[in-house]
Amino acid sequence: MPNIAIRPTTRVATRGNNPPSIVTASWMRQVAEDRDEIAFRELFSAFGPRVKALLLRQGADIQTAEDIAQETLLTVWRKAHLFHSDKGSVSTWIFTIARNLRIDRLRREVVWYEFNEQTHDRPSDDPLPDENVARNQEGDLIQSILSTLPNEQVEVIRLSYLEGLSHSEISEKLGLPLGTVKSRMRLAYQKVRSAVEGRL
Amino acid sequence: MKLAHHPDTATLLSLSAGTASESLTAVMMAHLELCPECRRARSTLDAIGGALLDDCKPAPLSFGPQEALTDRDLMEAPFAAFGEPADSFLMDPLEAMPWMPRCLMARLACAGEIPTWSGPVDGVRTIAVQLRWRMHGVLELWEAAPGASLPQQPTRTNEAAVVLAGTLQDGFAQYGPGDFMEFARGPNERPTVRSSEPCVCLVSADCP
Repeated sequence: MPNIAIRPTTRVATRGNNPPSIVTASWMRQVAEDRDEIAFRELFSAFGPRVKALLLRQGADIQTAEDIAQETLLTVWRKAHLFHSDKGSVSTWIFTIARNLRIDRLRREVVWYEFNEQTHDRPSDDPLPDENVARNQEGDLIQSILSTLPNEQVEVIRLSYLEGLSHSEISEKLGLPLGTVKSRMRLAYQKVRSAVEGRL
Repeated sequence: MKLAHHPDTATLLSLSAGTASESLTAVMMAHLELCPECRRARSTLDAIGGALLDDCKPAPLSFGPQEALTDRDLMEAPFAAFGEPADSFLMDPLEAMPWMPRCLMARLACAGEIPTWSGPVDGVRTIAVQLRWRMHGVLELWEAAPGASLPQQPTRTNEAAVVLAGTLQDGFAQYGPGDFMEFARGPNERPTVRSSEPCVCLVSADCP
């Protein structure tokens, strides 16, 4: 493979904070099919700093956060052929890669991979053909749903996903019974699921 | 397969967020292998994580994609995914364990562990699965004889299991292969094997 020359990249309009999922899925396709390094750089620029931010919030030091961010994006490069936009968005896929690396590096626990009858990497629930686009774009929908949830429900979701706190740690931090924390999580999930299923 | 008993949504959320203990994660992954319904729920929960990642305020990296891409050896190195079973992995003991979840099979293969039963004690044989960070809990395979009650250890909390073979019954319901269950507290509420064949389950517990 030739050395890489720095070339100007085309900036896309962002909706909210990150490029739309249809754009990131297109970059993934270019990386998977053509080993397109320009597209990879776009993915790196869009997601690398966000993965670092996530890791910092979860207690990683700067060097560890950068190492995991780099390894996450290198995994994206290496395993791009395993990404299927009909199973979910690029953001979701990258989140799961970063999550597993965090478990391995920060918590020093073994990552348990899912196996089922159809694939080693993704859930096997095959969407119907007309679900494909919706699946890929459900992240956009979920973001908008999260913005409509009561603060108390969003708070427990964010503490779990962004701060990496266990249910009992959230209970302690907020001074709430464990059952209340779980109940708020269930309510938030029900609303997200209803919205996603209504779209599919 | 349509299963009757599943992890609570909040428990599945902890799997998706990566905050569940290693042992509970293992039990849930074994359940997910057999449960399309929970796999679908987990996909939606993962999508929440993706949406929140999108919403993170970026923290600038001290290097750019150019630097990351210049390490050719790293970029093109064969990717040996941790946790995936080697092709040659076919150990004799596992051939006698057709109920073994593939995630656990992969874990044992990666660790080079050959599963060997201990016991029985009071009709229950066990295999301890090594966890990397043992302070967090225990993960064990239990094989209980028909009619036997699952043992209770006072130091263990938050016990959960996935049934892999046979049938268990507690004070609330029956649990067959693939079903997820959380053990109730109290010696009189321990699950009992209801099937005529031994019941095998993968059990996780916290050990404070």
